[in-house]
Amino acid sequence: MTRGALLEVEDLRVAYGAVTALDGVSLSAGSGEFVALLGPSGCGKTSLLRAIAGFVPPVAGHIRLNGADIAAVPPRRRNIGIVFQSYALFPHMSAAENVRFGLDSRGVPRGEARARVAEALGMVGLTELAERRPHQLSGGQQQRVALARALVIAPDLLLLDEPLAALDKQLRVQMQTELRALQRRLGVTALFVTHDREEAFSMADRVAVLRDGRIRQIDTPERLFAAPTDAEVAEFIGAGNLLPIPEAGETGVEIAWPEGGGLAFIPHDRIALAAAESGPRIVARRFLGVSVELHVQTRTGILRALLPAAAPFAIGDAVRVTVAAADCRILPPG
Amino acid sequence: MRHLPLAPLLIFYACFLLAPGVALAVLSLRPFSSTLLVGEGWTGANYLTALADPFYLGLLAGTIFLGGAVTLVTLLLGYPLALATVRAGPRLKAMLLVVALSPMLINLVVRSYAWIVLLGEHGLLNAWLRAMGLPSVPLDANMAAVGIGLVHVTLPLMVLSLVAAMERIDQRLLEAAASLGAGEWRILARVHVHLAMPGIATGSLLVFCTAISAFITPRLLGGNRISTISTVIYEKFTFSLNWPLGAALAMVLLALTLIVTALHDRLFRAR
Repeated sequence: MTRGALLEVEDLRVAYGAVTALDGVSLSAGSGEFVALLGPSGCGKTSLLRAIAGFVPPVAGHIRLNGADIAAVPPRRRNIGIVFQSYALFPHMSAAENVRFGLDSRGVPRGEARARVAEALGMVGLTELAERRPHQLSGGQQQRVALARALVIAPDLLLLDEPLAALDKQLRVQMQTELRALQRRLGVTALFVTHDREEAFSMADRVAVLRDGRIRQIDTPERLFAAPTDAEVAEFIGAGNLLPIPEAGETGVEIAWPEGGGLAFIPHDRIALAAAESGPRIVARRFLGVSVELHVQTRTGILRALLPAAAPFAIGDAVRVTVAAADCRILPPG
Repeated sequence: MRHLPLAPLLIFYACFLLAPGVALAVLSLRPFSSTLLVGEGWTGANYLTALADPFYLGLLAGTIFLGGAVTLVTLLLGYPLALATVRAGPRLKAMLLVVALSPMLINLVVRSYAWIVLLGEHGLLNAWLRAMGLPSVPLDANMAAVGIGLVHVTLPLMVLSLVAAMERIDQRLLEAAASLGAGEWRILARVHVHLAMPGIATGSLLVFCTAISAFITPRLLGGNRISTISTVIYEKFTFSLNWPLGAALAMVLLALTLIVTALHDRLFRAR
């Protein structure tokens, strides 16, 4: 546990009847940090969020906010802002009334409340639409109202449960940028649940990879990509190639294969290709703009290499593959 | 051809609902005759009596008041029960639903006499009160007794409507309200009641229409002292034999029910 962290989750266990949703999860977030919880559906990421929010009582473990255990604190006294996947806007209230709800509940004086609602709506660019009801707003606008409603109460912690999942791709990317900029400006600590790898890696300071109710690895995006702890994490985040280490013999990959069994992990961008008379052949080519992804058929499997877009290779070309020993690591299966 | 399966039902309604309805409407426009029972020709006099005569106006107002009061009481009693039912686990939920529906399992006449035994001048309640040296409560053949009986009859309708609406409420909305700092009462008043409004409206409609048109309960629990439109219609047809006025009163009752239903439709279907 980081000392002085804003949020500390220690050895948390959550179960629904006989089904364990979270099994010994520990996590901390520093003040102003943006942490993404990444995992497939059913991995427990939403359960973790709901336990922190106070909607699910943990079976064991501790949750501390600002150093104080909040096990006995009801949700309404936790001062945690939540943005739900479905937005959960009150359908019978206007955008402004939705945003104002949390301030009224806290007994904020009328004049101050009005000013803070206007400020929050301005922050998400919805000043013009303040009097609209949720059903008169687009998905993206509803999302902004939900965000303003969660932020206007000046929460200690912001929980976001797949808030962008319902938006189309273009809007989602735009909101990712806006959301992160807003969070950074306000300095609020945020926990962001997503199943979208790109979203997690492009937004978060640190990413926690969840699987089967456990955190498998938590690290910065850069370190996760460079050094996944096991093959399952590497595969899930799509960080690089995973190839079974071949028995002795020619594979067409010039690698000083590490000793021992298991899977070899080679990052996509650490593979050098050179034209050759014979050897492994390129079986697929995906042009990605600034780079090109080449699939090389080796005897142990397909190797995906990321090269500059100008790399002069076409499908069917034979290549010589070189990987530096330092770029090839053995990963336990996970 | 697609609507062919509906034919038996339509024939049933045409024979047993529409035809008697039309007959009743025709009857309500005939003049009263003390010798012929129903006179010849057409007249609006019956409606003039039903809607302008102070006695019948008072009757109409009293019936509407009774319906309104019964609706309000069933709503206040039914809301907490429905809330508890929706929040309960599966086993408790089944039990609470049986409790809510239990009044429907007993014959209406038997139930009414049971209330008389319980509430009457010489009933159990007043016997206890007297035994404890307290003044007895007159719940015998008065409006309060009729109201209690009607609340008992209509409570299942209210609870079922409310439960149906409350089960459709998105729990996330209530969680959002809690996370924003609202307490139980605030969530109830500012969020839950609004989201349950379709159920409140449907339940109120069913209860109100049932209460204003109820006959057995006001007749038995009201003794001969309490009159509602229904009991007076019965009396016009069986004792004073003024069928045209009875028919006019029945049409007024029908119109009242239709107005309330149309109002409900206007307020809640349009959304």
